[in-house]
Amino acid sequence: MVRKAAVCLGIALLTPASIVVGQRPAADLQQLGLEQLDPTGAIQLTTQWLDQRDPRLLAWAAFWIERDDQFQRVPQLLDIVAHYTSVAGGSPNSSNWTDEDAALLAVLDALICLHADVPASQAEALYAKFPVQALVLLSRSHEDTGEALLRILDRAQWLTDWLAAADLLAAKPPAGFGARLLRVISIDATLRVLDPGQDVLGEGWGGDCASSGEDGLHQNWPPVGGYRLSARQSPASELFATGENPVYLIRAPGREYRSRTQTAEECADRFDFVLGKRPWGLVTVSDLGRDLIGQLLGFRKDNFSLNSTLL
Amino acid sequence: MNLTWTTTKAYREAANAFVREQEERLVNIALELKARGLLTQQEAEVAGFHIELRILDPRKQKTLLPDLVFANPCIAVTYQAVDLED
Repeated sequence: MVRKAAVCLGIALLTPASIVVGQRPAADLQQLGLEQLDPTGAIQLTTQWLDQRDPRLLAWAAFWIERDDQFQRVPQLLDIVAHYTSVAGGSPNSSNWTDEDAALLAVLDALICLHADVPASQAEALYAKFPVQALVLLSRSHEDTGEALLRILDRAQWLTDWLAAADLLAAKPPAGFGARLLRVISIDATLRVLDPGQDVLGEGWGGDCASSGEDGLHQNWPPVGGYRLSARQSPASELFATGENPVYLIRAPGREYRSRTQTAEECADRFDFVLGKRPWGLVTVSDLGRDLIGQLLGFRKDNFSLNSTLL
Repeated sequence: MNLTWTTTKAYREAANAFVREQEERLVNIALELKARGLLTQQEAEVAGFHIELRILDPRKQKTLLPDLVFANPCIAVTYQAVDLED
């Protein structure tokens, strides 16, 4: 397979890149054994494919850059991100997901794995379609990311995103953070009106999660790291943000070109938050905001409550 | 909180005391944040606290409960009758 790749590579190097790309059917890409291509060949092919407009070729280039630690290519990847963020907008809606987005997934994976420093403004702009990657890049930025994280806090739709941003902010709380925490606080109190001698009722809770389907559209693309934030520690996770409710990061290589790797664990994360002292319902932003306020005031979450009857 | 139904007056007083306690707790939290420089004076003044008071009524004899009216518009009251036979 590798020998065949080398032969094809030789042909490729002798042929103008545009012609190679234009004439080669998609099935060939799979047959080339690109995943096992030797580093020398990969470096040469990376040079060509990094400049191509074909998103799949760009993804392969990013794959090799990451696999072979081609740090010298990081500036080019940063240029690609800069261009993307300057022209792309949109939402993380899957129906709006393009091949260009998929290619950027590979580019971001490479940048994250090579610990590149992406400008905070660009990292923030990525949040709409690449929320986890954006948070990872912001967490590693050498710039002041307080304002960017506050804006993400305001627009986060996923609980783990909100918690991750909040945990990062809590490490060095910027102006406006405390007010935002207070704003999300909602005390849900229950007053049970009982007959004399009547016992207290027990309450339960429930929920369901829809599982995500397989991505069958990117069969000839390289493996890419899928990222997920979780409130649960697992053998495959690393600590992302500390706090009373820490957040863990999981990178799972695969061929699922999605902005966020969704698994059944994502659903289970929510259930894990249900604590005995919170009688029903799943955890809310209000719960997490309360724990963070307690954290800022020096209390452990088990010893801090805003609702006096739940103490 | 559990409240054994006796009279309208007792019900309203218990509910008001309960809500007042929550409000005081939240105000104290805001003051603590301000004291630590995590909240400005202006932010502390405009901080609104949302309290949702859910009335669960599992009584066998469900006499009409009196309305609970609070001065704070951020306090929402909902009522839910609970049938023990279910």
